[in-house]
Amino acid sequence: MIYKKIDKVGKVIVDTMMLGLLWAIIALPISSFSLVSLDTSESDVLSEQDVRTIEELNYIKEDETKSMREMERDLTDDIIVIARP
Amino acid sequence: MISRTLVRLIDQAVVPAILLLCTRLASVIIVSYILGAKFIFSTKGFVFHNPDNYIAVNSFSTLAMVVVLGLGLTYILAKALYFHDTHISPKLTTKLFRHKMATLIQSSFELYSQGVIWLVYLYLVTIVAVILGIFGVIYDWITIVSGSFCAITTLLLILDIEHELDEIDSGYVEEIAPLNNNLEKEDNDL
Repeated sequence: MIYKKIDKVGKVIVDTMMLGLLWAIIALPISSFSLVSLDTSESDVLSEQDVRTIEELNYIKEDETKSMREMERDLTDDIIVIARP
Repeated sequence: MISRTLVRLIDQAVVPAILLLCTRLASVIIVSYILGAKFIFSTKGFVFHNPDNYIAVNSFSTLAMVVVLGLGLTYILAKALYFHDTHISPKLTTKLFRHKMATLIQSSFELYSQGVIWLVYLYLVTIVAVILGIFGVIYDWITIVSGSFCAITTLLLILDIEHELDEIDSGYVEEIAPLNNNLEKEDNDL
């Protein structure tokens, strides 16, 4: 009786391994898509630093749309926040 | 006892896998040479500096893979539709035997295992093409061509399976149904 159970378990293990092998064979040509890549070191792709700089520039641009009094008030608020312990 | 279907599928998956891999490598080199695209072959694979060249090479090598899969599937579908052992005409069978091409006549198990593997490859390539198309790394029309191939080949394979099922049904009606009728008659007589 126990031999039959072991036989069944063994069959399931072998079938799973066979399925894994089949998937590995099928995935092999699909993985070849990653063989071709683009060199991004000198391209137009932005780094994190570039993105941060652009965001800072946008912030300044937004400030330029405000009146002088509003900008002064914002700066005073920022100084107060920084000065707080 | 190992599953016969799984062994058969693994057996059938090896040849198209090698063929597709070779097609991808060869097409990248050939298309780069034709377009005059410069690339570096490093541990990352083929690295291109020009984005336009990268997109063109990626697109045409994907197209080459789709064409190879299309040709393979056409051959399998031709065998399934015309040389299937369940519905090949006697005249064509004689012709094939006369020209020593009897290997073209195959059973449903052989044909459908081949068809399923090649179709799975085509579906996977199409899925990858769709993803690459979304990211703008290949031309959109490549995705459309790949999807169309997928739809047509799936439809033809389904048609053959339906034809096969009809043959089985008609075989049942011709062979089993008269026997059942005879048995019913004998029961009624008794």
